[in-house]
Amino acid sequence: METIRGTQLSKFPLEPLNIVADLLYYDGPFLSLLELEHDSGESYYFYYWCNLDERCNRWLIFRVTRKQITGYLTGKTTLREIISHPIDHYYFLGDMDNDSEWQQLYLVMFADLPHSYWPKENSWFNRELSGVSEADWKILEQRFLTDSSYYDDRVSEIEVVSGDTIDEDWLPKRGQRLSGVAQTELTNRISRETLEQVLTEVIGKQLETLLPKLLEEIVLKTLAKPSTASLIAN
Amino acid sequence: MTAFKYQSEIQNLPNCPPANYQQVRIQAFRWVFEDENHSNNFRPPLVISPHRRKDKRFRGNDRMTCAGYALSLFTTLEQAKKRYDFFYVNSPNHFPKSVGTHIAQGLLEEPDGVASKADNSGHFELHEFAETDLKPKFQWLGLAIQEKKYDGNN
Repeated sequence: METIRGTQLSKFPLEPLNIVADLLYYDGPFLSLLELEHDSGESYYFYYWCNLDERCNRWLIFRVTRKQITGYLTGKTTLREIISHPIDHYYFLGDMDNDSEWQQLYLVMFADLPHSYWPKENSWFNRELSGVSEADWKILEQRFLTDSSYYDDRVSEIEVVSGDTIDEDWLPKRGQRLSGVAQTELTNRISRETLEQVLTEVIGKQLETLLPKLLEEIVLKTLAKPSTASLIAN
Repeated sequence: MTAFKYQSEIQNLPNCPPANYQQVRIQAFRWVFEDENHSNNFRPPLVISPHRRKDKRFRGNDRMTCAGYALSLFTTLEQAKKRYDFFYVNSPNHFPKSVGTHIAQGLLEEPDGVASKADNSGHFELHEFAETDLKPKFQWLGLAIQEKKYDGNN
């Protein structure tokens, strides 16, 4: 397999990461959706099988938003689009053996991921061909494909960005949605804040020394962000 | 009682093979490697290394483990190619390294094992009996991919 360019990690930093559903499956999982529970809510991650050799399977792990999950399952976006535009700008990339042990594990920046790992441009989800089980599809429908879940997602994202429980007056009425621009802005800012959290709390100082410019950018953009209320549109 | 090829691995799994699996006589299609002597051509996923089924991050259960000792097959050539294309598009880098690049066709007969019903994509599983040897029964038809020839460097 290709040599990994990245920061080697001694252990997987996202625990507990629990399975939600296998989205692509043939003789084992190709693409799985997992969730990380933490104090401020939940984060979703894709586990994408991206290579193998005689000993290990190589997995690409990266955070995804509910919007991306819904978009993928409803045919609005492709797997390539999601993988090639990671919201956190980095991935975890690791080789796992038959005993489920990481033989090597790296944090890889977006620019260092080989493009050979990207799916093709027409990597649309197709339920019939995907191999997703009936049980998993029910879970996905309940969590990502209902109007109420979409509405709750938006409210949750606002709360994460603002850091507070949002004022009732700010809420769009049920059935209304945030504008596309507002959704993008919210997603971008969640991404930066989560990246900052990972850098400072989870992975620690080894990355702070490697990525000072990135940290500076995060701080500057966080300070410059506009008020949350101005992003809400009918 | 007829023993299965991976009897020791499945004998403690409940309902394995599932009771509704039946002996069949049908034409079947399987993804294989170009090399007709490749050791993985007729091996189920849990016998191939590395495998993904026992990964502790995933919901390993008896049903999945049981299926891991069955061969994946398709009922028509068209369905085998369609499904191959789908997964190739989603993982062009390594999918052919895992399952092969070609399709072979053979007649499954009652003494070969017990099979599931095919799903909507034409996929079904076969639990081979202990003495079954499918290789001599299958003919290599050609490349599995319809989109373009796999060059091993995508």
